[in-house]
Amino acid sequence: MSEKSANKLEERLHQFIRDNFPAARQKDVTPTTMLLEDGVVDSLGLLLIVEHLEDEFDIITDDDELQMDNFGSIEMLARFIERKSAC
Amino acid sequence: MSTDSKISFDLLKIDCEKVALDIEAKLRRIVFKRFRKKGVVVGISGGIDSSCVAALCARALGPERVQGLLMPEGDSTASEESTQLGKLLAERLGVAVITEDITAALEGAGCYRRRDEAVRAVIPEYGSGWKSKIVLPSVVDTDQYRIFSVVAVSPEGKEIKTRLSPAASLGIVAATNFKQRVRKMMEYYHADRLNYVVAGTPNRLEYDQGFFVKGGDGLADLKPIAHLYKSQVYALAEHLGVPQEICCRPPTTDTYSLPQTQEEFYFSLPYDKMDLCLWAKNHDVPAGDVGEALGLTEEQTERVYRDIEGKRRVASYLHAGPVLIEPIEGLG
Repeated sequence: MSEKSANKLEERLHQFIRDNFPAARQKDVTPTTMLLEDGVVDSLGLLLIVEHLEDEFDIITDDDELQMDNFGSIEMLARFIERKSAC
Repeated sequence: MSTDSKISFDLLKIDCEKVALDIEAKLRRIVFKRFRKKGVVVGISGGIDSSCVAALCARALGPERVQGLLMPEGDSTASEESTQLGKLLAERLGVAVITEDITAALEGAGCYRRRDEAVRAVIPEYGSGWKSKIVLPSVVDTDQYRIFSVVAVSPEGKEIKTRLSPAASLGIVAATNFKQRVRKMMEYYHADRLNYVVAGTPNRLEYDQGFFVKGGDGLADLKPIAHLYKSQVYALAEHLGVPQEICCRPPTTDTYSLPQTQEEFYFSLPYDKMDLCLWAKNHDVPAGDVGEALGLTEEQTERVYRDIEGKRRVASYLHAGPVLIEPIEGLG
């Protein structure tokens, strides 16, 4: 995936996070902000993100993939989507 | 806290008689002087927390000023055992007890129907005779984020486990919360009738981590053991003469139709370890130091610490009272 399309993916995710989580509008969320650890998203919000990824990007997420490395931040989410989409 | 200090379960030991006398004096002051009421209603579940609160109230106010309530419902996996233990406790303490079966009220509110509809959104075959519970992955065994799955068992014993959608998760929790709210409604009925207050029964772990339903078991006029860690509540209950059958009973949520431990539903660790982790976190003990005492790695303990923080964020809404837009003059 090119750098331009990777940035676009992060922008889409950023917009989704801002639209759905009030804490993201109050804080200055960047691609590297830790979503759960910094209190932007709670466990219910994580379910919402999983549902969004499955609907929007047509990827299936296994339970053991629900880890910080994949879902920790917008940047990590974008990398996760790229990897899953390449499969 | 200095990392040289030895972290052990001894840190949670209390002088039970001293603690009991302190709580009892405060109970008398709150009930008789502050609220000017005649006694206390306690919902008795057959578990350690409500038993300890009932025992403290009986000693503080006299058993004749304590009204115990047993409130079984159709889903409860331990209804009969809980009722028997509740009656045993009431007899031991000499307090009056009334049984209010809340099944019909829950049916009227659509608790079971709404819960089943929410489960069916993710398990379409879920139907009559099926049982269910919601569960979280272990914090200790995996570094997976903790999100709810539903486990359902058919009448033939077939088990299905699937991750919940956001709507199903909210729907199941919203429906089952009727149980705690109907129980609280019944407690306040009896409190109003008797001119009593309602005692809440959370321990410190539950209170701190938001393990209660807002407007349900979270609602009360006073909470006598909210400052005590769960292992301290066990010690105090034993000191107060709560029957051994209750003191030895493992904690359960008794909210879903399948048996469910509190670790599956909420906490990261069994209560005694959770107590020590919470204490350690409250005293800025590095994760590595407390992990050693609990047989956990530093990484596992860090995950428990993060789970505690996350639950505190959620609990802040549960603890919040109604927020006024402007202060009201004349009210203190």
